[in-house]
Amino acid sequence: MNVLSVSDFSLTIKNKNILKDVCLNVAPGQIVGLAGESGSGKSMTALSILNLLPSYSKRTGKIFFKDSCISDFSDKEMCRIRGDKISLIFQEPLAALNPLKTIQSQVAEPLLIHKNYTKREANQVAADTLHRVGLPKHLLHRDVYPHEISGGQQQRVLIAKGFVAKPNLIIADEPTTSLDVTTQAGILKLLEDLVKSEGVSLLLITHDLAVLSQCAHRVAIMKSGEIVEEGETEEVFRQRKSQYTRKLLDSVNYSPANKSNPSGKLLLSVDNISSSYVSSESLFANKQAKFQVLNNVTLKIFEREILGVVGESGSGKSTLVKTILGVHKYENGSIILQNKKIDASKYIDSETRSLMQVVFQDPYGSFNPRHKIRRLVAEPFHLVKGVFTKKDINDRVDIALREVGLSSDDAKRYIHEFSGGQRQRIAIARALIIKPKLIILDEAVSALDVSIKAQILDLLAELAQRHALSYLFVSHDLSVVQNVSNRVIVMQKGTVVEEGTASEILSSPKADYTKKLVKAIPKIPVSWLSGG
Amino acid sequence: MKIPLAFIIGCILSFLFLVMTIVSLFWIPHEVEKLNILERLKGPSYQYFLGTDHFGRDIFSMLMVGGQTSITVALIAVAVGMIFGIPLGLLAAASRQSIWDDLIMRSNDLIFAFPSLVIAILITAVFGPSAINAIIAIGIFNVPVFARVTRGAALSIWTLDFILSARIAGKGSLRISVEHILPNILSLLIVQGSIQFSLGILAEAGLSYVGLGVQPPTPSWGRMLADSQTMISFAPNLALFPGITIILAVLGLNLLGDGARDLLDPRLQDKIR
Repeated sequence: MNVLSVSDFSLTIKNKNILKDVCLNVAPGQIVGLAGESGSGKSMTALSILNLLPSYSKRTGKIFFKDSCISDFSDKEMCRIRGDKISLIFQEPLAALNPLKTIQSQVAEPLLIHKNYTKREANQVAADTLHRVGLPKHLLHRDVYPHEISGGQQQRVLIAKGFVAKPNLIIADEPTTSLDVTTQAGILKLLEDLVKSEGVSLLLITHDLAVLSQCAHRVAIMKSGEIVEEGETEEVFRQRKSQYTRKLLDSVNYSPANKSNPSGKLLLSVDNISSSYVSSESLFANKQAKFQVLNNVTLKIFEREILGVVGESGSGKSTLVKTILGVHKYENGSIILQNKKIDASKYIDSETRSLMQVVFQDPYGSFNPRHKIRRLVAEPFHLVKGVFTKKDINDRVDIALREVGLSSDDAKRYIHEFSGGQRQRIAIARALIIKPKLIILDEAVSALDVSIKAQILDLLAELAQRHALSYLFVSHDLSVVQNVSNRVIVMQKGTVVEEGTASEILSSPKADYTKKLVKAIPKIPVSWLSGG
Repeated sequence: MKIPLAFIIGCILSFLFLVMTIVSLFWIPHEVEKLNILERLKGPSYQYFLGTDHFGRDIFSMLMVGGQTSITVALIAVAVGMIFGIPLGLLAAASRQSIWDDLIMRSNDLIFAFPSLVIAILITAVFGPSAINAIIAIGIFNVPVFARVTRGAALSIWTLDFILSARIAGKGSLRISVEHILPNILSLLIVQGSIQFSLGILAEAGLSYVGLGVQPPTPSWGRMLADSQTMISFAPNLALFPGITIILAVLGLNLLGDGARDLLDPRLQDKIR
């Protein structure tokens, strides 16, 4: 008998169809993957199963847990199911943990509520479970708070909490999305182990098909509230019956049609720079703490070259970007862009600045919400003041908007009227507008869905060709970087640990860290992708 | 677009208050500086809308003229606070974690450390009670309020990516502060302004109540309250009407400011619609 079976479940909130005829089965001891892009209704499915929907939502269809129809349960009856029989693991571990309670007491909570344990017993079991999920010994004592442990460890605590009452089903909603690749590998392995050894079932919700290809027994692919394809993982990946699955898989394995050809001319040379943050320069600060962020970093970018920079969070990628852009100081070494030195502590003339532009990760924070698109895109013209007339500027904004696939009418709108992918296009238009030589892409596609990501990467490749641009492509995601870059450098803790062409690094990594990184990337088996 | 009810009420109250004051510049039902002992302590009637006080002056006319004092004092005090406070706050935020930031914010703390009424009494003790001294006393205390609000809000804007992209476009701190920071914190400052405006009305009433605001015979709401308290047992309307006027004016301004923030913010408009 299935642990969970959802049959013809539909959900309407405020006359908007959120889910439509969703059918889903989870057998005991099985990992079922639920994949889809943002807004496809993955998380709403999870909330529907636990009946945590807003009161004004309308539901039809049935959800069975074992043989009881939990979609008919009252809230009081559901409270006995939640956390005891079915538990939920959230995406954002820090937000899901109460910062004022110790991790042990939070893990013990389900036991106190559902199992009539005494406090002492519950704490004992909680400590055992925390040990089971791989928390190091020194964190197992009673008074450790969530902020004292790393993101990966926080996720382990959440898993421990979801697992401690020995539920029959765990629903994990994007459990690894906010984690680094190497951490992600560990968490996925942990979940797999728990499923194997304890016989629980896991409903794994993720946008990452590669993750599912590695651990799920079955997958269901969702698109705008409907399940478009469902079946054994390998079958779904190999056969790709629906068009949408085909499109998704193509975008995962995306690589631009034609890569750019770097010329031999040096554009940017970063030579042995070191950079640090000082905690506070305030009058009343007791002590100035200094954090070394970059340590003797050297890199070169040639004209028309795409250089990938890969590293996990905290590796100093963003500081490197800021230092190159001339907004963060560095201590020794030099940054030379076309014979001009760049140093944030000195004046940088606008001609030099106008040679480079940037596109940031967060499509929501990169624009002043008070200005209209025309003004936002025209901002870099500040660097070439007086060269262009107002009409020239307007014309060039229109051209730039059309070039990134928007219309010139969009110039009259505000940024909040656009979707994430469109905003990233606008950011690219802003970067293009004064025809720079170098565009720095700081995690520019990381926040986007796979299919949008592929479109943006296509656009970038096309623009690089047309305008003879160089890119510094910064990302935590080696699989994206390797597809678009001519050369890749790998950073760890502020130093460059390895440099080489993308295929070199992927096929024969030399540094230990790179080996670990390459191994941790979830990959869809090549034979599945070739079809047949 | 749906306009929130609270905002409409705030608009109506503030509008009535404003109209009443403007009309009083040209016309009032009865002279307020002439005594008419025969008509003293009359209850509300057709002739005297809200009754008369112990000198036979029309209460409604006095409230109308008193509004002039309240608005002038509170408005100039808010303007003083904004003119000095906002640039100081922007400067502190732009030079965060430097000596300037400390210098500005700690001197603000210094002003905050003194209760405003005590300083107001000090000022009037030295320079004598008058409307101008009341403005100075209330205005000084608005400066650190605006500086703090501005700095706090500006700091959070400074960390956003679009500021970084403005810096990359070669814009300096001054230009970024004016072009990017100020428009994004304006809604907050407007709300703070309306709150300070209503607090200014309260403060002016308070100073007049203890005799440190405008001097007789110019009417003011605070002094009307003070004058009425000995007669509260047999002429409660003397205290009641100035009290209600102060409450309604303060309430109206608060609602107005709150609603204005929601309407001014393009991001919130989607939700209101």
